Amino acid sequence: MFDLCLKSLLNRRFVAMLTVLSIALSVALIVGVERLRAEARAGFANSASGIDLIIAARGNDVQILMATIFGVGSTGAGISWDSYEMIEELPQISWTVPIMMGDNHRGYPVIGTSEYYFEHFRHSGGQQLVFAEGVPFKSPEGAVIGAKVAQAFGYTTGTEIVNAHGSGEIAFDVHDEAPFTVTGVLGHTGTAVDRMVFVSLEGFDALHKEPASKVADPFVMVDAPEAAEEHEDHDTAHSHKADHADSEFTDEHVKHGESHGHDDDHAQHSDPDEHDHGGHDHEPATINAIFAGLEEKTAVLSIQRQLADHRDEALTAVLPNVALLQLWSITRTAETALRLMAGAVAMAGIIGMVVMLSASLDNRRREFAILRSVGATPAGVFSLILLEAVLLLSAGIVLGVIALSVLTLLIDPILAANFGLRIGVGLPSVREVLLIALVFCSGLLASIIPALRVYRMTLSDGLSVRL
Amino acid sequence: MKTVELKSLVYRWSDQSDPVLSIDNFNLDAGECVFVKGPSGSGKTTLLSAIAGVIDVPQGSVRVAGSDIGALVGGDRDRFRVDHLGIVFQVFNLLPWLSALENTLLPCRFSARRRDKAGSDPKAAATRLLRELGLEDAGLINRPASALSVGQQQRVAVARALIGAPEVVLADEPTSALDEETKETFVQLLLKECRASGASLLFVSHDGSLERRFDRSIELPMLNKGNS
Repeated sequence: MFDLCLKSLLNRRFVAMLTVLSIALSVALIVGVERLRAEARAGFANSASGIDLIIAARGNDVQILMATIFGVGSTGAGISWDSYEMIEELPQISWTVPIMMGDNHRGYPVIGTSEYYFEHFRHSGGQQLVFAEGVPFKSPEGAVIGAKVAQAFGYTTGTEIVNAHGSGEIAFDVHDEAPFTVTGVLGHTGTAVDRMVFVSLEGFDALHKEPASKVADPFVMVDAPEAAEEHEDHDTAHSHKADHADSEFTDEHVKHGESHGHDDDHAQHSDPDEHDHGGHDHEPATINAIFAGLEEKTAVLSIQRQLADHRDEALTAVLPNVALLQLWSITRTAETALRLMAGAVAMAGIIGMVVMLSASLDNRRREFAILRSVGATPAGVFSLILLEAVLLLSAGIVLGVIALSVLTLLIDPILAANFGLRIGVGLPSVREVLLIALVFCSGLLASIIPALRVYRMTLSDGLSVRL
Repeated sequence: MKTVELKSLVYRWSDQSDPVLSIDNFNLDAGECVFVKGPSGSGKTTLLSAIAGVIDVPQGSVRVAGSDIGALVGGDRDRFRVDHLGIVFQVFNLLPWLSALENTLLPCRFSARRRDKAGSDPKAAATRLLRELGLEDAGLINRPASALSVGQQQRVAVARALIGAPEVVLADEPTSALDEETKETFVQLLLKECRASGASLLFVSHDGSLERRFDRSIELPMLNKGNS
């Protein structure tokens, strides 16, 4: 029966192939949407572990989360260094990490932070950041890059890089007067960190010390150490601030790096250019956000209340997990739309199959009469149609999964580079298997319609065939 | 020994009051080749359907190879049909995507009895039958049936009807699509093969020119009182 069925289908191979293609397409779409959704969620959830609170200027939780954790978009206003110190000293706070944003390196976000970032940031269920090579930056010229950035441009420790202002991939305002030297490369995490360039707060501020006076190619990479030195000299020569202060400042920073965050002797600075000469740790005028860890997780609500009551500045304390939930509620509509669409395509695929099976029935009356004359029962003919549906569905599903895997392999680098999403080719998840089973079962169920028609037809036709 | 016995067979389509078939008595002896002559509309197809167990007939009215067709239900009739009957249609007897050889072997797929009777190697039996029917070319019998001429297709149909030696061969106007010359050869071959395998043949046609080759010839309108 099986090979009869197969040969009969092969006889109609063109239509059968189209049917298989349409089923394959719907399977690929349904599974693809599901995989993308699951991976996006897992990716986002992985990016945000270990941080109890994200504090930023009053704004939308999701926006703050997206900007600080994923480097997408920006927070609204900055928050003052005073607020940072106020928060740092709250008794419930265990640690804080300042975050400055807004610049990019060849399309990859540049984050100004302290070296404590690497100590406290957690991803993928509590894993610490690991240095694939090198160490955290110790000086304003030092930079730590994510695995993806290193891979994309072939950077290693010692490479000198130039950043651009703004967050677009093509920037004309290149800060090549303030190059950085890569001191460390982070191991691969599969999160947005892979796409980030980290510099110290001083380094980040230094980017804005001197506006670029010329239009420069953002893709220039100065990697020869001699050239870098020359460059630096050139910059210093053009600086209208005290030349010697720069080097002095560097030394000071190294010294103060250890006591960062514990310096109570701070002054009010409104001009970022001024405080470089101060005798204590670097204090930018404003930062964009603060990552904070708590002594007790239960203190979250009291902190949120305290910050909401904070008079000097309007602040928002975001719980990353709550913000993620909000994000899901926003994306749910889009997800639902995508799933509905995938479902509709699957339905169209199945209807196409039923149409194909039904349309061929009249032409195949002859076939059924011959089969009955040689002993096929009406039930046998009924199951022949079901078997055809099974073959078409199975072929469609196999083809769809293969097509999706190939497609995934092709677009994975693009997704990873642009969105930090890694889909990867793996065994289908339980949900995916269930979806595939759903397509299969509904297809089989739908094919009962033509099979029943055939059953009745063979009963009434018997051996006589009206042509 | 009678292979087909019809006794007080009355059959009417459910929505008609007049019977299409009403046959008091008709017998087909083992090995007998009978020509049934009748114009279209005289109930030929219904008669064949009754013998082949495609339509519901009253119990006791139709016996084929000793079994009461009317007493068989559902799939049993289909299995009985392939076990004991070979059927040749007017035209388009073959599944076009199977080769001539595979078409010939179809009954052996559905019937263990036919398979057993075809010998240890049904394929060899089919090839031998096809050769006797004039299809000798090995390339030809392995080509899809759609590549064969109408005459060749009808001969493959005969091979299919005869493989595994069923008791009865029913032929429903098998020559209607053939020209005069092929027609003669075809009927000769059919009779020869039926006699060789010992099968009874019920040959239904409106074409009286063929009847002289048969053991017996009957007029269906005379036999069938229902259709007046």
